[in-house]
Amino acid sequence: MNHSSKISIGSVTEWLSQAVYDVSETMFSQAAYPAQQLEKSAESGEVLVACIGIRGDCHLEVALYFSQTLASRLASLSLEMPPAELDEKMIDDVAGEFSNMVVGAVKSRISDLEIVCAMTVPHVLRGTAGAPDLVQKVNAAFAVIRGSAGPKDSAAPALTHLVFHVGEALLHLDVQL
Amino acid sequence: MSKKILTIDDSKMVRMIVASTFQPYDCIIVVAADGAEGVEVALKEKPDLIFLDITMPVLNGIDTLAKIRATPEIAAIPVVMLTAESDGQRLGMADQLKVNGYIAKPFKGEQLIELTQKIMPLAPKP
Repeated sequence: MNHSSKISIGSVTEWLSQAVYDVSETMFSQAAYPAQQLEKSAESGEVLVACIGIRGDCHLEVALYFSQTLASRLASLSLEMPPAELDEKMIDDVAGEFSNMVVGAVKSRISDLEIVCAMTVPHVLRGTAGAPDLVQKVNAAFAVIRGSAGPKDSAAPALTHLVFHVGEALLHLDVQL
Repeated sequence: MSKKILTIDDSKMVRMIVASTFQPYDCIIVVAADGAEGVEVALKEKPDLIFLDITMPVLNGIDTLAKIRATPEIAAIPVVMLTAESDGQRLGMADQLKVNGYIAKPFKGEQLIELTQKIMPLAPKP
């Protein structure tokens, strides 16, 4: 049974906000807080996108958009290496683990409501923000997460867009419940 | 005698943080990137303690723990779940498989040391 209707997008937003704050502070010593309305323009330039789903009796999809600068900074801090020595695999790993911890915290809150669900491993993609090929790659990743290569359900709920400051950079999230 | 700690996690970042946390202690850190590899490494290295993630490709942490507990040579090794999924459902499954502790991600290195010292003594690096 799909229990997604038992959870509001407001609750998910609150849980994600707390999780972004906790993960940024605890693992990376970076202050995190929601961006103001004027700063909420879409991500631009080269980005890493981590796509994670929660499936089972609740369906939630989250795409986290990291600028190259943010992803490199987080990797440099956590791996204790200068940015110049990091390779793409290391940076992707850190963006994936950051996302795993954020969405894992939300999954735990959902499970605590006795809704049976499981979280997927993150799919980390690279591309230019807003470019058609990245949009296509993100959609394909979520199709795999849904267990179907078919097109997105046209009746699917709208995306909720969240933006946070993490240190001096912005982290964008697209959330679909 | 050095204590051997196995960390089974698909994230290199987490494996490196665990290694760095125990660097001041007389410990040898061995690693595996998924559950299947983790069971193999545990059989080969016979660690004193295992830190185990839950959400991993190939073999997830719960199935890995079940396999460890069902394998006589490694069944008695203490296992601590180090996981982003710290809900009652997941931890209940781990409890049934006699897990020795949990640490929720995000975590601080001090939490790893504190829980490890409850399971086995840690000596400073000579």
